[in-house]
Amino acid sequence: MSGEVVMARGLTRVYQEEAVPVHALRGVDFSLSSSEFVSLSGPSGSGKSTLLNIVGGLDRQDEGIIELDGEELAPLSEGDLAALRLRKIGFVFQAYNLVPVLSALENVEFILQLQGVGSAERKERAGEALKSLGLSELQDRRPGEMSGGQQQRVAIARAIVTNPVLLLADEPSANLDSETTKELMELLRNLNETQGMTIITATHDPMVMGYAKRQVHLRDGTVERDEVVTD
Amino acid sequence: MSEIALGQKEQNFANRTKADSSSILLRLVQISWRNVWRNRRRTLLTAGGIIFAVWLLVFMRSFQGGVFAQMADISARAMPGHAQIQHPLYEEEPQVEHTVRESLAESRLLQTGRFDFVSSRVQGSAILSVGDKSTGGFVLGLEPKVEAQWSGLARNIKTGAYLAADGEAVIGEALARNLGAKLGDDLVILGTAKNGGIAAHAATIVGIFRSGSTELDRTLVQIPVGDFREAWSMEAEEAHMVVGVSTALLDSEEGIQIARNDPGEGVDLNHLAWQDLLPDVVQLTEMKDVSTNFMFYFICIIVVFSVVNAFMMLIYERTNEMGVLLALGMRPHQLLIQFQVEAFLISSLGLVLGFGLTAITVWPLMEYGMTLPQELLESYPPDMVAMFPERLHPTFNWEAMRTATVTILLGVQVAALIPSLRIFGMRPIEAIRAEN
Ligand SMILES: Nc1ncnc2c1ncn2[C@@H]1O[C@H](COP(=O)(O)OP(=O)(O)OP(=O)(O)O)[C@@H](O)[C@H]1O
Ligand SMILES: [Mg+2]
Repeated sequence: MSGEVVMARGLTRVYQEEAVPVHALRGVDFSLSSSEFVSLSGPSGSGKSTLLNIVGGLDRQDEGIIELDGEELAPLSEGDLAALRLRKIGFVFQAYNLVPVLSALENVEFILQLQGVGSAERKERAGEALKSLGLSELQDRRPGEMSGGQQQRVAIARAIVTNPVLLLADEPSANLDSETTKELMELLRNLNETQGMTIITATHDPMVMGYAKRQVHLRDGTVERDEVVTD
Repeated sequence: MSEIALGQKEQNFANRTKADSSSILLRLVQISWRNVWRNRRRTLLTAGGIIFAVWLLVFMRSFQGGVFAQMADISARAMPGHAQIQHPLYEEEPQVEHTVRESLAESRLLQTGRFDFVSSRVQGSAILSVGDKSTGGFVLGLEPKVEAQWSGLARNIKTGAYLAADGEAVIGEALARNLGAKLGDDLVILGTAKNGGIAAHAATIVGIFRSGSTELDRTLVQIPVGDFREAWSMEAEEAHMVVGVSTALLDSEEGIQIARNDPGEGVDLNHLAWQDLLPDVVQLTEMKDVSTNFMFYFICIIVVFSVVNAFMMLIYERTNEMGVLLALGMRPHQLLIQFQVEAFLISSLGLVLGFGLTAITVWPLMEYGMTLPQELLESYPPDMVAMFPERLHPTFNWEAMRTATVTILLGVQVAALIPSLRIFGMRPIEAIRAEN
């Protein structure tokens, strides 16, 4: 039986920075079981990134409860949150993902190194992660010597090499053409299907949405629709 | 049971993180190293400032150190020697009866093992006459054979020769002119003897010197010490001072210590090092050092500002990269280490190249010497310039190198730290989103 990876109840997030407070989330209920593949969609400013950031321990809600893998995040210190992100979450951002002075292999290894994994195991796991994404050939290249799609694949390798309980991808295709996006999404679907990786993407891109098994549609900081896709 | 198990597990975890904190450190160093080369232009610019600061301090101090050492040596050889032993009252009250026993004072200097020439002197003022012309002057009785070997004055005989035998005298050029004296003339010396009577002595002028010091040239007469003692009714062992000279100038603290060293024995003697004997030279040295230090620290401040600026730029440029790393779970202090290592690499590069440049420029000059440019000569008192040799040799100043190293290393780390502290207030999502 797959357990709850994410449990969110009544999440609100208000940005006070401007003169007028911005209600980015106005009471979001959302939960996610292991091995799900969810796409967050909705118009710009609807709160997709905000929700993803709170789920990933990068931001904190103002009200409500968020649990990740059975652990409530609100009481955790910044240091604990960082450690939790390192252990449990794989992130793929839209750009500037990799350390420019490290090779593909070193970038993937680096995250294991932050986790304290020993040298031999690190090399092996990083190599395997790259191989599983068809990147073995490119492992010694630096980001500047790879295409955007190749860089995103390395970023995914880095995100999965730690065996996270959850993979978060905010606009992973924003800088990619449609052909590359398709390759990338097929990789994610493959990860989800063969390894049971739990994935949330946030996107405007209908093609990206199309790969998810469940659509959560946000509008004005609330969940407007939450439906399982049947094909 | 479960508590013990947990304890064990935590222990394992602790061991693991300990072992791997060194490997993460190596990785951070590697990232820093590559970033230093990635930002080659900025690195070289910052390193350039450091190179200049190091070169300035070490070269200038080596150069000045060499000039000062030679200046001190020349000044010491012109008259006072490198060290003297006197009667404790003689410095304050230079009276004829304030003497030391020659053999005792000489053995004191010889005991130190640092002096190659040791000899006695007696001295006093007198009325000097040649024919019907007279003037006041100063008579120095010394051991000609010993002093001829080191005295700068002995080398500056313009006409005639230096003292060789009893009954001879050498006098300053201006004094000779004032007395209308020439070689071979009889010089009559009249002073006050130790017993209160008249000290009278007649000597043949065998040499006329031009020392470079107008004061000496106008007043000084040198005669053999035996002649002086006889005329002044002094005993054989009596000396106003015993002078020590070494082939290598005692310019270090150690030299001062040795020269001033009093081995005890209950005999009260006044030990003077050249630093005591030549306060003008010491003062000039210190003044020049202050101005060099001032320039060095001024450049250091510029370096510090350029490092602050470079790291502000660097942190600004890498905001996105840092945001991603922080989001992934890297800790701010790890990023700080990376930046501090980067700063260290840049300053090390600057220091190494700076020392290289300094070595390349100082060594040949140490070997072959250099002539001072006119502008520099003008910053020294003309009396001293007159005594300078044609080529001056710098001495490598290791102390300046140590000062430069410590100052630059510390300055650069702190300068890099200031803008780096921003990392601790950085929020990953904002950093990732930052436009630049
Ligand atoms: N740091 C912030 N300060 C102030 N307002 C913010 C901040 N971050 C987000 N917001 C606001 O909160 C609302 C939700 O933003 P969010 O980024 O979650 O939307 P989104 O659905 O991801 O949009 P997009 O599709 O454009 O990425 C928006 O109105 C946005 O302007
Ligand atoms: Mg967004």
